[in-house]
Amino acid sequence: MSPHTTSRLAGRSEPDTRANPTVRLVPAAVALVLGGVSVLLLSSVHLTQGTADVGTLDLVRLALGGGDEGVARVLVASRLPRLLAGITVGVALGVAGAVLQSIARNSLASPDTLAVNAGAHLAVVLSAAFGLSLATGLPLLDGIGTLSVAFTGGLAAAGLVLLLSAGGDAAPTRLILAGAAIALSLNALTMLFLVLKEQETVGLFAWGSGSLVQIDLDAVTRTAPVITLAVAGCLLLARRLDILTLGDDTASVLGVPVRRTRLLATLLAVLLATSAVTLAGPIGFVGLCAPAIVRLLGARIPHLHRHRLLLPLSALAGVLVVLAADIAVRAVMGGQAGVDIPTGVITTIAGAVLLVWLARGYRDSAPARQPPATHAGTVRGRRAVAVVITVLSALLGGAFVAAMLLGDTSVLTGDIVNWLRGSTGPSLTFVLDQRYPRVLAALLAGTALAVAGSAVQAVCRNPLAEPGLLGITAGAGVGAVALITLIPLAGVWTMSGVAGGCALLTFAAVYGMAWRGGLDSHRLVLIGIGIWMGGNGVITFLIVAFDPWNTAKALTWLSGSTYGRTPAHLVPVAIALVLLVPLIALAHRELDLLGLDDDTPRVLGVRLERTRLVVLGATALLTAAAVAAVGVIGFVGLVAPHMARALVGSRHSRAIPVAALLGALLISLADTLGRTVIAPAQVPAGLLTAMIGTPYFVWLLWRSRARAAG
Amino acid sequence: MWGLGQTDVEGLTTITDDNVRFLYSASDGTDVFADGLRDNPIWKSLPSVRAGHVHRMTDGIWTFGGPASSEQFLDELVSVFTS
Repeated sequence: MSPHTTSRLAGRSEPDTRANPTVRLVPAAVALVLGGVSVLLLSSVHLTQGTADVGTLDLVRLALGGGDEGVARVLVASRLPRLLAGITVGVALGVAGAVLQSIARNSLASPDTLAVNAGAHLAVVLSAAFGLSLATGLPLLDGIGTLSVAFTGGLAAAGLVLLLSAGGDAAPTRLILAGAAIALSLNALTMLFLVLKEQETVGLFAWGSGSLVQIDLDAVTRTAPVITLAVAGCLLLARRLDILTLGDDTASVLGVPVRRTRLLATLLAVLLATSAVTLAGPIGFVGLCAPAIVRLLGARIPHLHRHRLLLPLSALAGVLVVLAADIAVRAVMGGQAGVDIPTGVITTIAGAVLLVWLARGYRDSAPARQPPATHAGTVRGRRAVAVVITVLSALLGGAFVAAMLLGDTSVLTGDIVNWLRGSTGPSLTFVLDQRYPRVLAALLAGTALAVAGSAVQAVCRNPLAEPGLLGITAGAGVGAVALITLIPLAGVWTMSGVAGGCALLTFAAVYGMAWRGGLDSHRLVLIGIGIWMGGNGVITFLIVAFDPWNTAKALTWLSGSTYGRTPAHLVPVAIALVLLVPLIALAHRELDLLGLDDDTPRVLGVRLERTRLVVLGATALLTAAAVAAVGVIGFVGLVAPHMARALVGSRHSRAIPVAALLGALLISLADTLGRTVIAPAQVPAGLLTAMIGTPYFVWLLWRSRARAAG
Repeated sequence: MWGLGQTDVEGLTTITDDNVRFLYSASDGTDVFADGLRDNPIWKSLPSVRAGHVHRMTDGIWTFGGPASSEQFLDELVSVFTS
C-alpha cells in the first residue's frame, strides 16, 4: 500500500498531511536532536558522580590528556559500566513501553502494569533459589540461560494478564487492574522465595528494586546486542503498528496480519523488558513514563503517532528518566546513595505519581454500568447464620490456641496453663511472653481490616474497594515509617496518631482525585493502586536510605508482619475496635441502603453524606490502627467481606460479624504459618495474605467481565 | 570501630593503605572477588590487592556467630597476619 493512504487515514486530526513533507519533518528532527543532546548532557553529569573521590575537574583533566591512571581506571571500570547500563535499560524499557501501549491501545500499559517485570524477576529468583540456572562457567551461556528464564517468566505473566482481561479491548482499566494485581502477587511470591532461600539468593535482594551497580562491562555487552536486535525488530514493525492503532478491523482491511503483528510486537516488547530486568533488576515504571513524557512534550510534533518516530523518542525519554533518577538521588544524598538506594525505587515513586495523574482522566470506553456491585450473596435463614458464626468462632478459637502453641519453639497446652499461672521456667516464659502480643496483634488487626473492608465496599458501592487497594494502608505506612525514621523513640500512640492522620489524608486524596462528576469504581481502585505502589516505593526508600539493616522494620513495613510486637502495640488497635466497630455496626441499616444506590437512602430519610463521611472516617482510623499493629497488610479487607457475603448474605447486621471473624482467622493463620514453616526464620504474614488475596481479586475482575459481556 | 556497610568497586579506592588485610567470605559458592573482580582495573590496582593481602576465609566461619565462631575467626586472623 502507498504511504499516502496511511497518512491520510492516520492523520484525521491533521488535515494538511499533503503539505511539503520535508517542512513537517523539521520539528521531529529537532525533537530527536534535542533528546540526543539532553542524553549527552545527563551522561556527562552522570560520569562525575560516584563513591570514589573523582569529580568533574579530574575528568576534565583526563579528557585534556592529563590526569592520573587512577582516574582513568575509575572511569573505565566503574563509571562507564554504570552509565552504559542505565542507557541500555532506558532504551529497552522506553521502546517496550511504547510498543505495549500501542498494542493495548492503552496509555497505562507498560512492562510494570502488565506484570512483565514482576514475572521476569520471579523467574530469575526462582531459578537461583532452586539452582536451576545452568552454571556452565561460560559467561555467554549463563547469560543466555538467565535471559531465557527471565523471558519465559515475563511472557507467562503478560500472557496471564492479557488472558484475564480478555485482550484489554472492552475495558482498558481492567487490563491495568489485572496487571497490577498480578504484579503485586508475583512480587509477594518473589519476596517469599528470597526469605525462604536466603542462602541461595544473596545479592538478589537489592537487585529486586532495580540497581545500576555493575562490577564490569560484561553484563552490558552481553545484553546490548539482544536489545539492539529487538529495537530493530520493533522499528521494522513500525508501519504495521501505525496501522494497527486505527483498529483491528481497519488494519485487517488494509492488509495487516493483525494477530501475527500483535504477537510479534508483544514478544519483542517482552524480550526488551526482560533483558532490562536481567541487567539491572526491575527498574520500575520507566516503560510507563517514557512514552507518556514523549506525548506530553511532543504535543506539537507532527507524525508523533508514527512509530518510526515514536519509538526512538521513547527510547531517548527512557534513557533520560533512568539517568535523571540516578543523578538526582546521588546529587541530593551523595555518591554513597548510588550504592545504597536502588535507582528503581526512585523511578517507581515518580512513575506512581504519573500513573495516578494519568488514571485521573481515565474513562472506560464502554462505561460498564455496574449493577449493585456488592452482589446479593446468599440469603439464609437465621439458623444457618447461627451455625456459620458458631463454626467460625470455633475455628478462630482453634486458630488462637494453635497460634499460641506453634512457632520456632512448639509448646504444649499444659505449658500455657502453667504460663497463665505464672509457674513456667524462664525459657518458656520468655517464649510465651514474646508470642502472645504477636498472636493478639494478628487477631485484632484482622478484625479491624475486615470490618473496614466491609464498610468501604458498601459506601463506595464497589466490590474491589479495600483499604489496601485504595492506598489507605500504604498512606498510613508511609506516615508511620517516616515518623519512626525521624524520631526512632516515638511512642506507639504518636505513631498511631500520625498513621491515622496520613490514612485520612490519603483516603481523602484518593477519593477526591477519583471523583470527577461521579465515581467510576475502576478509576477509584486504579488511583488507589497507584498510591499503594508509590507508598511502597517511599517506604522502601525510607528504609534503605536511613535504616537498611533493621530487619524488624523492613519485615513489618515492606510486607506486613507481627514481628517484634509488644503489648503496647496492641492498645491503639484494641481501642479503635472497641470504639469504632459499634459505630459501624450501629449504621448497619444505612450501609444496607447505601449499597443499593444513591436515591433509595435519600428517599427513606438517610442523611447520605453524613453517614458516608462518618463511616469512611471510622474506616480510615480502623485501618490506621491495624497498620500501627501489623504494618502494611493488604487484601484481607477484600477477601473477608466477600466470603462473608457468600456465607450469610449481604445484610450488614450479619455480614460484618462474619467478616470480622474471617479476617481475624485469615491473618492469624497466615501469621502462625509464617512463624512456623521456616522457623527460626519468618515469612511475613502479609506475603501469605497477598497470595490468597490476589487470585481472589483477579477472580472478581474476571467475573465482572463476564457480567459486562452478558 | 565496626559496622555494616556496602559499596561498589570504585568505593574501594578510598582504602589506600597497603597494610590493610582484606578478608572475605564466599561460603555460598560464588567468589565474586576471585571471579568477578579478577580483571577489574580498579581492583587490580588497589594497594592491598597488589601487596597480596587478599584472603578468602575458610568456608563455614560464621561472622555473626558466638564464642566458637569468634575463636575460629581469631585463628584465621592469626594465620593471615603471620603468613
